[in-house]
Amino acid sequence: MFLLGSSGLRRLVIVELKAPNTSLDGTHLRQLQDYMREAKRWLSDKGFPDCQVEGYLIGSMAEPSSRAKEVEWLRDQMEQTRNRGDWRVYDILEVLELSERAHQELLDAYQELQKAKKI
Amino acid sequence: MTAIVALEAPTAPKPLRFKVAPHIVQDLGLNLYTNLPRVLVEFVANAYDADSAYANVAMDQDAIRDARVILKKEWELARAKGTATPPLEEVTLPDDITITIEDAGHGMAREDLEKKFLVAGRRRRDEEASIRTANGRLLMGRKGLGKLAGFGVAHRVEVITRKSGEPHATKIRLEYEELIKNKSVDEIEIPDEVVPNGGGLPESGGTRIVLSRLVYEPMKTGEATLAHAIADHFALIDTDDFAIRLNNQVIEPTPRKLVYAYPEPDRDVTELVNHQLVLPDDRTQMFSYRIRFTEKSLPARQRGVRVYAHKRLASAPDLLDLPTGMHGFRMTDYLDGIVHADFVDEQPTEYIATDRQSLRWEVPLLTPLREFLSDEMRKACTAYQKYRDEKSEKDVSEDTFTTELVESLELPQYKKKVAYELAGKIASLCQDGKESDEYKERVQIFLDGLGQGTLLRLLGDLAQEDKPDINRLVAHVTQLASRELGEFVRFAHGRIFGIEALRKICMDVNFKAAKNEKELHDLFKTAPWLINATFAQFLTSNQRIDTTFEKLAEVLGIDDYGNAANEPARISCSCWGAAVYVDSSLSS
Repeated sequence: MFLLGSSGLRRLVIVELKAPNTSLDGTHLRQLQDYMREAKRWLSDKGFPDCQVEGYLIGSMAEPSSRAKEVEWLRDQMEQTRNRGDWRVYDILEVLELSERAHQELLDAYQELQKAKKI
Repeated sequence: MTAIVALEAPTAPKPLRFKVAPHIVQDLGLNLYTNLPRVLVEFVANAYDADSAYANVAMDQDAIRDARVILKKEWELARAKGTATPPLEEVTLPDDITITIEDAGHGMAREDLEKKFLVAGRRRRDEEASIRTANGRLLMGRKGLGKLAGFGVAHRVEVITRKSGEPHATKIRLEYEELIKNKSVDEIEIPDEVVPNGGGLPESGGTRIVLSRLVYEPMKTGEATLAHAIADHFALIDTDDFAIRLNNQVIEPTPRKLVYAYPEPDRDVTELVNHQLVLPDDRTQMFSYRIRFTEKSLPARQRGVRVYAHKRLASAPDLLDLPTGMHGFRMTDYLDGIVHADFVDEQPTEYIATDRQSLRWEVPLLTPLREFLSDEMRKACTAYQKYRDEKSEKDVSEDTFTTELVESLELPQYKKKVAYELAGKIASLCQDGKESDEYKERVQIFLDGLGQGTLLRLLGDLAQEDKPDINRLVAHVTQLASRELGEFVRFAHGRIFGIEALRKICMDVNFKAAKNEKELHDLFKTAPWLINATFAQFLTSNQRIDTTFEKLAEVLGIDDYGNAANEPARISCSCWGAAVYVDSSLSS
């Protein structure tokens, strides 16, 4: 882990975590986008215009059968960006699965290197 | 007129009588001998005292197991129907399921049964004025109570016995319920019958005990446990002199691989050493003993010294007064001490508890022995710890895994020695030694720590040099990077376990209903890698926007930011309900 103060900031991540008993919807995403916009503006003002600001909205996905207006709006947004933009929406289980996979990949890579006697 | 009055002398009142109610059978049988091995050893000891060459125990374990299953189901059914039922542990198995103990000893005639067997508390040693059997064995029995042991596990005890030279055998049946319904023990009549053809017992004599109406609870003991428990009880008996069989197999004591014995560690571990204690009143006590240690750790109830008297267990394993804080206390996990002290069973007073699990250690006769054994155990533990440490150090210095690890650290010679000593200590503390995963994991952590200091010092030295050698620098930095990666691997494994645990919690049906947002929030703050493997530095969460930016400014090293709280609030948001993270070097 490096010290950010001496190496320069390249990436800032804002995580909006919602209670598991609340289904994620559009209001939550707009709140996250507000935070991201404010952070970007502040960083730019302070001389860090290239700093990448990302947002994670994490919580419980609404049931697929839900037709609530805000839920459908969120689905539309996710579909448009394919959930690959500077903000992403995840169910908590999905987040954990992704993190586990990432750790496992790092371990696999380490073992491959060990086999090849590179470390 | 004179009246003559005859004065009658007052009659003396009848003397008071001390009566023993038959419930004594319950106290001396049912309540004292609650497990099957302890009951069976009493009958085996009787066979030994009858000069038999063997005691054969027979029982159908499968039938007992099946009957217990059925009985339990029936009992549960009855309870479900509301029928009054006795506690399950007291219910008896069907009559045809039995346990038989048979010997080829002297056997008993009808008269012997009446005058010897049917007298609870008969003191054979006093009556016969000898502590030896006709064939010269030291008598095991003493109190004459072992015959009641059967009622600890069975409600019916049948005795079929044939005295040497008699053409027939005699059979009696003792029914627990019949015995205890009488008011006094004198009123109990035991019918007997003559069994022609000797009842299947040898002409030279013998006795068969048949236990039936077996009690549910004590029948849970498995065959192997039973065999080992009985064999441990008679561990000092030579099987050529007296063989104990369970279902036709000669039983063996609990298998233990002994690896060290104290005192005189150079002698064979199975041998005992003689010792004489002189009591304050000049009496002497002769006994033999050895404090042995097993290769694998023992269950807690098997740790300590066992005392045998007349080749029979007199006291179960006990650590006596061994202080828990002493050096080498961990070695008690392997401690299997043995003492053979016949004098304990040859005193006018009885010092062995009836269930033969302990001695009356507090009496003046036994206090010196207790103190001696406690002290010997303490010394033995210290000696064994030292022996293990030395052996482990030698073992690890010849162990490929350890030597490769130590060599990879490129330690100076004096530190190498420390590394092997450290590895030896760690191996001796791990239950399964240097082969265990526990050892391999721990030794790596400890030795990495040892190596880290050296490596950092070498790099520090290099930095101090005017013209550092590039090759040395490359070598040291490569080694440092390799260790950092090694540490990461250990952490990564731990993280994956953590993620798996959290995933299970999240998948629980109750999780979504719970208001546990704060706990989750705190968890993600502490461990941002739960969200993304590359997140390492948590910045702030749920703070006012100005506080958030102030924190960010600190991280970015913006000197002129000053007190952010005083800066005009261009962002009109009062509070951020989000967590802010910055990434680690791994992402780059």
